[in-house]
Amino acid sequence: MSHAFWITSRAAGVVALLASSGAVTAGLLMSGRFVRRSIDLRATHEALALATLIALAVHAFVLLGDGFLHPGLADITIPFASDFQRWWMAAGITAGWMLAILGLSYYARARIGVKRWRMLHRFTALAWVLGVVHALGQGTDAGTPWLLVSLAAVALPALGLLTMRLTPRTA
Amino acid sequence: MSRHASRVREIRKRVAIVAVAAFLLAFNLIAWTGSMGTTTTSTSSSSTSSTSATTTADEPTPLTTHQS
Repeated sequence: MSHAFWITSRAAGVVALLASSGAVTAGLLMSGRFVRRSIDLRATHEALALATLIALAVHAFVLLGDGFLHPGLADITIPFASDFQRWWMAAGITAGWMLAILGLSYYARARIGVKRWRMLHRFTALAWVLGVVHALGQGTDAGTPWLLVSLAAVALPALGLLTMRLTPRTA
Repeated sequence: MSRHASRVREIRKRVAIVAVAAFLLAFNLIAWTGSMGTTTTSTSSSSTSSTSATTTADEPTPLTTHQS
């Protein structure tokens, strides 16, 4: 199949989008005290975050094998290095790095300091929003009903929780 | 293995299965219905026996073949 790399990258991008939305939802549910903290929710949050990172790596690096786009390593790892849809690409690359660094920092939280790590980890939601912007702005499948419906199913709850979290509470 | 560890392992396994299933579903959906960024159509004329090809971009793009 001549488009195998291209389709693989797009499918992995879809998985990253859905898994990151699920991870953000689980994370906001835990931090917002909307539900009782449980081992299941925490494990689901972590597993979805790891699945996101794997899917993101596939989404980016598989493009190196694409015979049509021909991106270099810099094009897929450095924001604004690629001339191709520069701003959407930069949003995606920045989101990818933020998700990777902020997500994997969990395993170094003892060294970072739990309080400082928690403060940093909040920026994961911003990275997720950037990722959604990248997908909707640049994604070839962005206008397809199947992607919009599946994205709405996982992203709208996360967006609702994020809005509730950011809204100042009145006493 | 403790009960906690086995529960975490079970959840990771489920998430991995769902992620792989979502990938396969998305891959097939894109392969069968997705745009590759451009469409190429060939038309033949029987009277002149000549063939012409027309390439139409789905969206504005610097590429001649496909785009993300």
